[in-house]
Amino acid sequence: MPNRQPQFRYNRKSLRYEQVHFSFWRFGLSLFAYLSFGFLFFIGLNLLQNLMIETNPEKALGKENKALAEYKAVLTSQLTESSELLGQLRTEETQLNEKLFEAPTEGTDEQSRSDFSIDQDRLIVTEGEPFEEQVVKMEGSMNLIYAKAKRYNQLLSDHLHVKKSDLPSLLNLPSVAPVKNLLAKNLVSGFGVRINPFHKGNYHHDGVDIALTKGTEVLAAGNGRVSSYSFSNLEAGYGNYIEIDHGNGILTRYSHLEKILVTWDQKINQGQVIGLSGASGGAVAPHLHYEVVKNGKSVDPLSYMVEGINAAQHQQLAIKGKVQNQSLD
Amino acid sequence: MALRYHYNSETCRYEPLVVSPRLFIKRIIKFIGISFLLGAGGLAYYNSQYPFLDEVKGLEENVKLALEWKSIDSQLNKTSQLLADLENSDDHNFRVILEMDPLSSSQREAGVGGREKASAEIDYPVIRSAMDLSEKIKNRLTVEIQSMAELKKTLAAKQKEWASRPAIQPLNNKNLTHLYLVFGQRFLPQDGYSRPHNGLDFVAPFNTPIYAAGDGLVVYASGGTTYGNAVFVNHGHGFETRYAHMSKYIVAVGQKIKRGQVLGYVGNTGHSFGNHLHYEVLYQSQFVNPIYFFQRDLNSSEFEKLIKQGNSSTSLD
Repeated sequence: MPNRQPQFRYNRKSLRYEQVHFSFWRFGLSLFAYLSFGFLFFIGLNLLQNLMIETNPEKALGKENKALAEYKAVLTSQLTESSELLGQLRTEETQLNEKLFEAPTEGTDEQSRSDFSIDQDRLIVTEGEPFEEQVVKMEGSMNLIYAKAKRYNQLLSDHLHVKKSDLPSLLNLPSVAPVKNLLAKNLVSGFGVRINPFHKGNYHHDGVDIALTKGTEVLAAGNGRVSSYSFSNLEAGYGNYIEIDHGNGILTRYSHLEKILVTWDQKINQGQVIGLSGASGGAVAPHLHYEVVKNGKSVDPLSYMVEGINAAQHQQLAIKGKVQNQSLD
Repeated sequence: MALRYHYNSETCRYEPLVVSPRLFIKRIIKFIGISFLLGAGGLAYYNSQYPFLDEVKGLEENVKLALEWKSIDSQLNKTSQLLADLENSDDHNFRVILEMDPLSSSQREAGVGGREKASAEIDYPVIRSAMDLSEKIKNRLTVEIQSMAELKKTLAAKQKEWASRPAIQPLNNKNLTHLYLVFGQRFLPQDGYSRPHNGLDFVAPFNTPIYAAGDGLVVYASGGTTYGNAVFVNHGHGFETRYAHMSKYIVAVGQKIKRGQVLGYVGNTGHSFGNHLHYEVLYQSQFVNPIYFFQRDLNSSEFEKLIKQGNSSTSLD
């Protein structure tokens, strides 16, 4: 707007000069022109400064990104290499396991565990039934379980009442594991028909084999008296072994020991250290062969291990103990 | 646009407004100047609020890369974990059973210290730690591969030892008429005095096959002594088994034999009264009771399976 003098326009209809007044439309138009040109300048200048100026953070970022990308490639190749080697090692491990135990122990272990977890998942995610129906169903099955439990309870209370005179012998049961912290992976062979490590034939394995390093403390599974022990440097049979009489016709045997720390007829308390584990006698590896004998017959020691162990651990042991693998004799 | 006029008070006329070129240029310069200032002002404000475009681009890329690195990191950690499981099983499962000492952590991470210099040049802790971890994994893998090879070798040796241990009964239960479990001093009615009896007597019909109790080397196969036709097998590791009073033997001295391989047949040669096998086990040159070296409850189908294995695999050696 060059001057503030009033401007006129010639109106051809009225044949008169009429003054031009301030109009918002005109003002808006010129504002738009200024702004759009301003915006163009803004974009141009921004691109220019981007091109001309390199800021420090930009430089640092660029460097870091470059390094990240470079080392990413290096690491990815290393990772594929490593995982390939790892895969090979894992198959080798499985082969070694199969050779050592004549059964893919780890595999079956894992599989049964995963099967178990799938079952648990299935419990939660049922096939899209309405919630109400599920609740009704659940209630029904709970009532069933409740009734069953009640019946069993009655049955048990009818048939199972502990006489006071029986209490001491019950307290003497070999109810703890013969080693501290018995882990499922250390239970290398369970009770039942197993493969003999020497001749590879199937035979009845009368106890459980717990793999232990030489010199691990072996504990008494229950109160009792040492009824027998013997030393043997013969590479066959039980080797150095201890037998403890818990009364009531129940004996426990601890074989392949390195050292015996008890004497004949010594009174033994549950959890007492009675010897150190080893590989004496007919053992292919250092381990404890643990037997429970009831009335002259071997029984599965796992069914007696109830103290100091939770249900999940016991289940793990039971799963591991059922694998028909090779024993350590 | 229609012409504009202004009122000239001197001439009292409406005169058209004329825009001279100079004025036009002036106006344009003014317009451009003002829009430039507007743009510059906008830029100044923008710069005060937001980072440079290249920085934004860099940041975006950085975020993307960081995400990828996170995945690499988790993969590395997973690999490390799997490897640790493997090492753990190696140390606490195989090495316990194979009577080998577990590897110490310094043995397992051998050579990490020397290589750390390579990654020390890297300024970024994320990269450095990942590279270090990867390096560590690589070294641990190398150690574990060696360890696995060692385990395999030891197991192979052990299996050889287990295979050579006398572990089966030298006669099939189904052919056995009687087993005399007397070991030690024994009164012989035929001789009229008591003499040591260093083995077990398996009574069986004439020409019942006699099987080797374990893998080994025939060190004696001859007749003519009180043993009659006898075969001695050295199993190594301190064990020797002796089979006496055979009707005939079908192996020769120096022959390698497998467990379950037929050595000869039951007879009545030497100092013997009736068809039987006299079976002795020696451990470190001492007579030991053979009863410890076989399972009597092994059923006959299992026994026959073992015998079959022994007689079929002879050609492999």
